[in-house]
Amino acid sequence: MHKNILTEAQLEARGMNAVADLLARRLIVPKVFFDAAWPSKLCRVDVLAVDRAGAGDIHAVEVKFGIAAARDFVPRLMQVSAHYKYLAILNPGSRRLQEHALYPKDGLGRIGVILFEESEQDRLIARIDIAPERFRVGPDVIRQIDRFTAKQHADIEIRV
Amino acid sequence: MLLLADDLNSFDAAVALLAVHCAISLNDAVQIAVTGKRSKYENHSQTLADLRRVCGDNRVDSKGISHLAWLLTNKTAISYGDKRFTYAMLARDKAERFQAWAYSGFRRVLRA
Repeated sequence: MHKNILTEAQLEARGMNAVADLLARRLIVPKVFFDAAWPSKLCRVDVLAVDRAGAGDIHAVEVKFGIAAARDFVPRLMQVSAHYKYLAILNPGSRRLQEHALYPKDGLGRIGVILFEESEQDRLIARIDIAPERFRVGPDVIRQIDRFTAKQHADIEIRV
Repeated sequence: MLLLADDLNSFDAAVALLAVHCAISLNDAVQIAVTGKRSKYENHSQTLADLRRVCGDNRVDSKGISHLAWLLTNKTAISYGDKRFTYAMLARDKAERFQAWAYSGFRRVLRA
């Protein structure tokens, strides 16, 4: 009942938690950052996960309410430095993103799509609807993510 | 391991066994990546000593070795014990902590 009165921002925050849970289960001891200033202070990524305790691939997820907001965000997400990129869409309605829009104009990769469902226990569960494909990332980005993970406090991580 | 851990009541033995083996494999990976060879010893204390030496040579904090040590100590009980191993959740936790330590300390050589 209370879900009907949640704002879009609250729903998106709930979605971020569900996405983090999904990534924590799919990756190996990832470091997860919410609302991460990545790759610079000028950009924010809703959920940033770095696989293998910071030594692995970079996963960037944007949580959007509605299919239109998700579609409009595709060009910006293309610019984000990450090996895997996803749009997580709350309340998508009956429409779907056109799959060809998820590919860059040239080069490797495909943006993945995450959708949500409610469990019987009122849990929001994220699931992958369209699998992401790996983008190419240069060595400078690897150096940058090393600095980022060394400096920033992860919201979710396995402590030694 | 994580998938099976979703149903720990049914798969606790498998989770514990996978926890041990993934830690042993990762230890091998670290030693091969750094020294070019892995411990051949069946003696677990020698394996741990080798890893400690690798840490010392590479100035890596050896804190995480304790998790591997716990898993090796319990390996026989997990793999061959007559009784049901009741610490599967702890075994999973130890394996994850060992992974987090190894990937942090040996990031350069273990980078995917």
